[in-house]
Amino acid sequence: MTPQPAGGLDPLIHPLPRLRVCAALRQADAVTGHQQMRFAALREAVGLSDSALSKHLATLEGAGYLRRQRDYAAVRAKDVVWVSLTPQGLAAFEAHLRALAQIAGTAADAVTLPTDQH
Amino acid sequence: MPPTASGDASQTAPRHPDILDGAITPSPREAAALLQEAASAAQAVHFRPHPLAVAAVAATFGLAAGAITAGRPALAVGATAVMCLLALLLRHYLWPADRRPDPLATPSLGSQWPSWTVSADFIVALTARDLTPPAWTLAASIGVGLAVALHLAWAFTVTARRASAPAS
Repeated sequence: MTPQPAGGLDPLIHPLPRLRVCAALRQADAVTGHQQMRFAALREAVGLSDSALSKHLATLEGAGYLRRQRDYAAVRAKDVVWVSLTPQGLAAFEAHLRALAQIAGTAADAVTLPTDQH
Repeated sequence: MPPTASGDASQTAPRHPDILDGAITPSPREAAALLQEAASAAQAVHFRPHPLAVAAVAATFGLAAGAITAGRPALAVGATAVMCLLALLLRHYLWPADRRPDPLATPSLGSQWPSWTVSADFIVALTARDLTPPAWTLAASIGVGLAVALHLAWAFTVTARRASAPAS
């Protein structure tokens, strides 16, 4: 089920870990059709455990905001998972950022937003 | 305790960033802090080329060019062989291992060209379905391939001329 954004704020992206996940993927230009980011690199960027990150990724993937691709190896431990935001997820994240900046008002002036690479 | 109501500027940090519904929004300070978190996460992403690979390729290329200029084809061929090996390093270090082109990306002339300079790398690329290197990889592959062809042609030409030259 896709949540209904409230005033640009997206309940799925709003939790801090997912906000960081989306920010890291956007910064890496890991958007479906462009690039993919390795799970391990994403984990280091957001500072989450494997299990916690997997849980958040599954939530975002279920909403259609994110796509995961697994490259299978001989053993599961050596599988490589690649992650990318879908265009829908990127749009939702950017709308979420805009809504946060609007709420922050003047406070947003002191905040460096992730650079736009598109 | 209920989450912060909209417009409440009295809070100094995001208290409940995990709580959001249609009626509750973060305060301005919370929103600013969340934006800062997003920025810091973005800044934590680093894809840097390996400086040793860059330096090694530059040095080997210079050696090969110098060998050609000095009329030392064997040295040039050897340097080119090293350059081919370094191309493998380039493929794995300069092209960040933590990021790759999306296999579902729209095909184009540059993106369809595999990194064929080193055959083993080509097999790896096929296995990984990673057939979408960026344009610079294509240019580097063509450049190294041309260098190999030129150096081999130079070496064979010199060898043939020596073989056909009358004994003095």
